[in-house]
Amino acid sequence: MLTKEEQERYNRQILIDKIGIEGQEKLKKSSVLIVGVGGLGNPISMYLAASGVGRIGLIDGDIVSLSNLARQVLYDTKDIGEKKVFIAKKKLKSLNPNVKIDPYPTWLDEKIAPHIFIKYDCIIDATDNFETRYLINKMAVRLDKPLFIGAVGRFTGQVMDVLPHKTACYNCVFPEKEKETVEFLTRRNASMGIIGTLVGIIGSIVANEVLKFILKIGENYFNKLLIYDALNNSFSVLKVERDPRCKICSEDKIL
Amino acid sequence: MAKVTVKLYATLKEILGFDTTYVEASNVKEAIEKLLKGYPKLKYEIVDDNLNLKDSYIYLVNGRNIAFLQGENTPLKEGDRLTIFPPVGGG
Ligand SMILES: [Zn+2]
Repeated sequence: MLTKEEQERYNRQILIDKIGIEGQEKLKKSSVLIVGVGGLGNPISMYLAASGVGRIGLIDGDIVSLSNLARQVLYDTKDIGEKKVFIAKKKLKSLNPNVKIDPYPTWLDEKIAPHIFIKYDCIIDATDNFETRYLINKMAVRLDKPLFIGAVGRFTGQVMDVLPHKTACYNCVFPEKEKETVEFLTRRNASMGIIGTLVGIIGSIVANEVLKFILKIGENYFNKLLIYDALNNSFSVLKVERDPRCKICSEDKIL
Repeated sequence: MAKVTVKLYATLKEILGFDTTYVEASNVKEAIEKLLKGYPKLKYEIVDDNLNLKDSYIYLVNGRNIAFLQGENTPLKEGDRLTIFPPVGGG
């Protein structure tokens, strides 16, 4: 049931025939975990909180630093040195007090991931390194959690959605190479820079993918990879396929 | 020999200034050789000094990663699409 305040707050969404009161209630009942509350995690969490997703988990061990502020629009200059998840919780609660925010001020690892992932309907990969991306994909597939992936570098953004065991997983398209290559990719990405607006564009697309999925409307980037080029504002959608030889999603599902 | 569409994204597109080209080739290795002959600027991006494909790029044939097919020996047929791009991982 929506309160009077909620009916007014979400009025412009409820007005959409494909959403209505029923859709808004679906959002209220849903829970989403965002891994990484940096450039992408900021707009994703803001739009999901503003739109009325009932419970949002935020996991990130990082603190706010000066070089974050050119793109991480949830944080202010005075927040430098503070844990991101606590600042984010404060801002999101102020934006929408109806939403429950669970902060996890820690880095994701293999041990804690299942305990946290299990508490949410969907997982969002908004992290900044390939090691964690492979871990998130593995855990989401193992626990059968729909996964929404956003990634950025320079002027390029990539988005794909995963329905474990049904559509291509992250490892089907980006198979994990040996440790040195994964470390190289993370280093290369960290040094290539990011234009500030790119995380707003890609973060908004990821949030929109999650909302559509919860509302069961439209189409998602399942078996599709979006490559966005900010230099000429072009969106290329590649068809991708689940690979029977993928070592992550071809393994048996553990219930 | 098959006519194959090659799609290039991100830094590769930045280097060339366009994202689509065509080559005649019967496998991925041959397609890459022709691509480098036509566009030598791509050389240090996608292959190393021994002309081996760099691990840091993604090569898809019709949406499947060649790592799960036959690597650079993956055969190509008329109308196939070879897509090459670097993964981005930032957040
Ligand atoms: Zn897979």
